[in-house]
Amino acid sequence: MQMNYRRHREKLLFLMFAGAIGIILLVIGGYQLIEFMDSTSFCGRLCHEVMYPEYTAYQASPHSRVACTECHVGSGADYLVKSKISGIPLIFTTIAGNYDRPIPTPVENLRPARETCEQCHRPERFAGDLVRVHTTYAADETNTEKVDTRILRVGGGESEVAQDIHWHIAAKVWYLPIDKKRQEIAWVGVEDEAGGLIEYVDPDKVAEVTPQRLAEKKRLMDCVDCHNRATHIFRSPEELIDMALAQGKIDKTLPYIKKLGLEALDPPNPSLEQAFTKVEALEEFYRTSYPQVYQERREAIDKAIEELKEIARLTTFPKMKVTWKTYIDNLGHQESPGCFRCHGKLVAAADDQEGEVIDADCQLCHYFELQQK
Amino acid sequence: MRYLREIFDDWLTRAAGINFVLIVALVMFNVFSDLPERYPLFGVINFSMVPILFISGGIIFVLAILKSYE
Repeated sequence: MQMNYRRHREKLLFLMFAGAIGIILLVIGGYQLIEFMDSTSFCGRLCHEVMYPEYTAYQASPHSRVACTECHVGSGADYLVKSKISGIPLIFTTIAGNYDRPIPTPVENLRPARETCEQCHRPERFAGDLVRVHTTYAADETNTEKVDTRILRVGGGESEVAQDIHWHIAAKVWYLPIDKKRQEIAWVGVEDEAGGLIEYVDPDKVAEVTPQRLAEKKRLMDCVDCHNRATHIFRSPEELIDMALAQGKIDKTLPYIKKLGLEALDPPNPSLEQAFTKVEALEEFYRTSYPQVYQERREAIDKAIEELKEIARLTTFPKMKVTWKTYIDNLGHQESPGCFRCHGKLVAAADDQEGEVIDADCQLCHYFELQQK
Repeated sequence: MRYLREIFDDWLTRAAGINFVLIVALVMFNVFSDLPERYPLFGVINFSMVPILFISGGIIFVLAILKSYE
């Protein structure tokens, strides 16, 4: 380089100065880019149609203040890189519109809950018994209220003394699912203190439990094996209307409000606009069938219509073919096998245990004393 | 002005200058604006421009050095 020329020297100085500042700006810009790609707005809204049901359910969920990446990526550069690389094919799938409708679950490569959920939740905590008061309403004129109280023996605790439902997390429980949805469990192995395994098998599926399959497919039970819809919870209109009535978001003294809401939203509507039209027809119902209520309670009717529209928004996803029945919720056993994927089904494999079935007694997880009182 | 005119007297240095100004403007915009958050597609394009401009800046730098050898 002809450094003796002042002009050349100044050019080089400028280029070097611009390059140095550029590196600093690249670091800032790169950080901004990563931060943006980790944002909920990026995950939920960029691939709008694909993620619309998941994003909508997430916004109304108990984890709505936890960013998507906290659970789907977790901390650490290796997982950040892995997630970005695994996301590249999805960009092309989304652009081409080749994605599954609805999105299949469970997510195959979701990071273990021990590295995500347990960063905030401490499974060793002894939660004791949880009293759940469940208020439902009948689809009659007075929306008859029914209160059902259940006691859940959540338990938990350090591994040596863990008990009840959260014992499953304190202990090391391995299982072998033989279907993609992890509903068919053919084998369970509980690690004992000596490091051995107490094994249980499904008598109908013994042939499918091979050493190779066990080595490749067995999973260590964690939070998401039961709490599999902890965030993307698709509740039914009935459940959401009951919740809104119990919370006072919908006035429970409005005649037939539960029945009307259900008729408008269940079965699912082919579009959100149609759901809104059906909900708005409630006004006409009260005007013609209950003119006095319509005159005196206009505000309550309008509020109920707005709330039912919000429920429609949380339950109507025709483009992705998602309804409240699409995804299985493993928590409990009301709508899906849940606990009974193993309990009452698998039998002890050891000869000395004489085919003892994994206990399915209600008292294992519930107390009924409060209900009886 | 004459000093600056002397530095930016060829298209490569001018391109480097424009590139530099664009990076500064983009980073500043991304710090202070919430538009990328509100419009994620715009955000993707916007945030991706910084590394793209940096790489193009690097190419310009190399070309400018090579040219100065001629």
